[in-house]
Amino acid sequence: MPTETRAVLPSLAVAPALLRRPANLAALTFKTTAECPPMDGFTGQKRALDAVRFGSRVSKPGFNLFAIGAPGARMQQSVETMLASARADRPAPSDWVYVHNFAAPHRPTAIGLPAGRAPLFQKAMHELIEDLKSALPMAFESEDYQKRRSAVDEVFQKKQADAFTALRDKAEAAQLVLLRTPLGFAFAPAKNGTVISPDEFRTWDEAKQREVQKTIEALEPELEHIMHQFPAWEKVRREEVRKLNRDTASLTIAPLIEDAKTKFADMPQVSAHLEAVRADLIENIGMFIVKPEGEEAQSAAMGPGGPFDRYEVNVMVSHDATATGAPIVQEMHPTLGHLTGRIEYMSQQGALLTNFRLIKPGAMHRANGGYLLLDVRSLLTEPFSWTALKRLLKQGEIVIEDVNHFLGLTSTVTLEPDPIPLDLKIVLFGDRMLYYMLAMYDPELTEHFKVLADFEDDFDRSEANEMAMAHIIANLAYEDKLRPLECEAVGLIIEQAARMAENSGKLSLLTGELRDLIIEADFRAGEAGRTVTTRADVQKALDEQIRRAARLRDRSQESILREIALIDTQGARTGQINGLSVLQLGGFAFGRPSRITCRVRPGSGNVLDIERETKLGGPIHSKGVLILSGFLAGRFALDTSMSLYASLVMEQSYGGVEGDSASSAELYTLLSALADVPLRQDIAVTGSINQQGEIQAIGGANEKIEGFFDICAKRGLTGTQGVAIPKSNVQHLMLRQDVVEACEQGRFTIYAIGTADEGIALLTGIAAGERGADGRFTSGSVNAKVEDRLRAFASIRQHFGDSKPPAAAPEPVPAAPPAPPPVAP
Amino acid sequence: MSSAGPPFKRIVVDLHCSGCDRLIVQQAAEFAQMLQLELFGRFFADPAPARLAALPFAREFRVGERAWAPLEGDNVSLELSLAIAAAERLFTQMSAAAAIPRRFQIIHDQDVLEQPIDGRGESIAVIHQSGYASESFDRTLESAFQTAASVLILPGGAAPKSGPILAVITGPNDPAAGIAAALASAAGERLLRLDAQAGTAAQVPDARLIVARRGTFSNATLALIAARKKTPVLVVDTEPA
Repeated sequence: MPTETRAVLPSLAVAPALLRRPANLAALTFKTTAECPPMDGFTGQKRALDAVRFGSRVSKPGFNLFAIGAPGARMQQSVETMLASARADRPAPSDWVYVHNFAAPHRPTAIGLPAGRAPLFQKAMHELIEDLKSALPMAFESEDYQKRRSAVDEVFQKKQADAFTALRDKAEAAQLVLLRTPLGFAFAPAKNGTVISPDEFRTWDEAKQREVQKTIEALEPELEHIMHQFPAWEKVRREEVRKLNRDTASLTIAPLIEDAKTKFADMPQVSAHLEAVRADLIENIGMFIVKPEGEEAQSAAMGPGGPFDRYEVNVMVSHDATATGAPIVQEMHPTLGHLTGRIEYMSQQGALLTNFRLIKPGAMHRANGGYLLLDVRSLLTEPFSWTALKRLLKQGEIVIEDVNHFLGLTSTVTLEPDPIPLDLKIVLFGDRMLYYMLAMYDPELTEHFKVLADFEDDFDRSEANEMAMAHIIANLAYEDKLRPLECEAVGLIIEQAARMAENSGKLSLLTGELRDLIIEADFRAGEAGRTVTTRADVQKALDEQIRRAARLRDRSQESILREIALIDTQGARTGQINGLSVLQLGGFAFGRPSRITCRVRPGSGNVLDIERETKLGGPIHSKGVLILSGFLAGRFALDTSMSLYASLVMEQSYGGVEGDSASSAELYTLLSALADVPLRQDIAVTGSINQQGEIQAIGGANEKIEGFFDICAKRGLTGTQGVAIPKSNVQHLMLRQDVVEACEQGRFTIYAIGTADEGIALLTGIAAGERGADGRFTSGSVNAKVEDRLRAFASIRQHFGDSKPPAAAPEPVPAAPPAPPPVAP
Repeated sequence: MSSAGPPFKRIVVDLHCSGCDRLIVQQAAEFAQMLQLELFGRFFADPAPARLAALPFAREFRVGERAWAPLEGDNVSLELSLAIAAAERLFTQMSAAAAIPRRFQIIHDQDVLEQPIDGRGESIAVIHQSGYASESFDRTLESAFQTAASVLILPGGAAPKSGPILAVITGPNDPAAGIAAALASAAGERLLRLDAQAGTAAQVPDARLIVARRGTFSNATLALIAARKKTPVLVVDTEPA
């Protein structure tokens, strides 16, 4: 039995000063943030903001912006601030209205007017019609009109009367009368104006009877002629009445129309519309003159959808003429209708009707000439909106599409309003994943959104940037009208920003979370009756934030302390180690130790990952286990087959396991089991491993360390306990103050591990061992024990089934240096 | 004018006139109901067509067909009896609905038709403003004044069923004021007065009934008011008190 070689390790313990980088309060040149001028949210976002600056100023089609970043990066605020300064460079956009198209009523006409003029046009048209509603009846009831109208009627009636009088006279001269019969007219022989009786007629001789009959027959064509002339006379009368009406209407309408045209003389489209209105008014004066019968009919005529609607103006969008700059519009609910406008309907007697006044503007109308801000997730989750947006950008005009119509949900008459020219810069906001997926699956994305503004999640931590962060904090407090923060409070928030960045050398730009912290700290300060927020208030806020979210963490720790979940924090065990994992639930992350065990026996070279076999391990976890198999195969017993069967498991894990941060711990367990040397249970391990045996950085280092520290602290710190982390994770450490203090007092230790050899030496207290010139690992080292065991497994496997048990393990073949080549005779 | 009831006892409707349709009879009946007057319906059964039909060569020019057709005695009698029956049925129906006293008379003599009726001064003759396309409104109005001392000109369409009674007066002694007051009292409506000096058709306010003395407005204006305002106009042929 070889003796063990004790490990002689350079100090792997991380200096307490590296466990948490405090803010440099000396560089913060203020006592409270009240002395600190608020600063915009541009700090650390130069790349993104240069993109926004470029995208907002270039005026060519397709150069719309797609801003991406993590939630809470206040992208929108930054973009809006920049657009607010860029908007002044753009001319004030036009007002747009829809008016009735008298030639094609289903295609309402769009008219663009200078900013602020649309409401004036609407008012002018409304007043014009209201004036006509009183002026036209008055004109048609005037004595002058009535005289002229009576004259026309009189001429007609006189013509009729004269014709009948002449005929009557003629008949009378021939001793006849013109009778009105139930169905028409007839001539009859008469005496003294009275039709003679049949008896008297029969007393006349035959010649006289025939003469009377001939006389009647001679007059009948004249009667017939008069009767046939009636429709023609009536037609002439109607024409003359119509002409009189037109003349009367023209005289009344002309001054009002001319007055309106004068107000909009600089707008040919308005003038043309007013001419169309004039022509229509003259042809339809009846609706101004004849009152509809019944109250219902009257209110229907005056209300929406009534005949006067056609003269009104539907203002789609109007801008304040006195204000400068382009509009910045945000649409929170970008349905197709909200985005591109919609056509509404109203029910009249069971039928759905619409007209140009029921065209409603969308966000694109309101933002036209300026900027439209949209959340891409909302946009993509609304049916038709994304494709419609791309289509309109390609067409360069806003076309209102009735989704109900092309879905077949309505089959009623609809409108095809004139498109409105599109001069719009669109800014989409979204997370990176959405952008990359969209770019992958929609080739049109880059055609329409050529400018990417990628917002940073964090920025370098320097004295200057800590001061910049202080300005951001001051700004957050200022915006929310909170108490000023003391310098020390700002320092703690800066440290929290570094912790959020998971890097002591970075500061998080996700100011959304910082804002929440400042608000809560302000509340705590208020509770304590303070006028400024102190560091204690910030710390209290942090503690309370954690306490509110930490129920599951506490339950998890409780189960360990009650030894329901088995975690040793002292002693040493072979094939067993404390790994560390991070659980993230509802935005709160906490670390938790997990026992990892390993059992070995001769086999066919398999390292069995029980998590993978039970389908509880994710692909990255499985990859980590395969990598450590690779490391094992490449380092030990190279001259013989790998005859190992090993099973690895994360004990008491009932959910999925993902990530490779436990792969170094799994390797140490495997080595321990093979070498049959115990591992320290007072040190928890995290870190991934590569095939060369180097320990690689992992995420959540702070939470993992604190998770193990909490268990040890609750059981009582022994002074030997600690956590082994990858050396490259030291820069990420921003540990809780109580952890740092324990380390300063030597009650807890953080170890920075660079290689598997360092790690196994730390955990076993035995040197890992190096392969010497004879090709063998240092005698008594962990590696030597591992290699010996593997050779023994190979031998067992080789002689498996023999009647005699195998002799001692075969002499190892030196791996290095290689044997000298034979000398040629 | 005393504040006693209106100085009328009956309303006379000539049911044989062209344009005398259901609406006119209904409005006349409602008016009679409002003032609690008798409704007197007359139908002139002209004997001349029947006589002509008995002659061997009699024929008529039918307006609807725009063609000549033999005038047969049987047909003439039948058409006439049908017209009388229809008029009487309509008259009875409308007056019964209004629950007013009624009287229906068939007149066979032209002279009787053109004479003033008994109690002319207490009677109102009804005419219809737009129902006389082939007859002069002036002649119709004159003829109505021969029958009765007051003439009610009804509008073509629906007339208002409520609203003030408007008296258009030419001076302090205008009898229209008193008659309008009595009618307003009987109908339970407000009374409005309008000075006719400045009055034109356009300035006449909306009302349920307009009352004016004969001569206050020209015949054309009367026709216009009835047509444009859709308001009945009662023209009284009474000298100023």
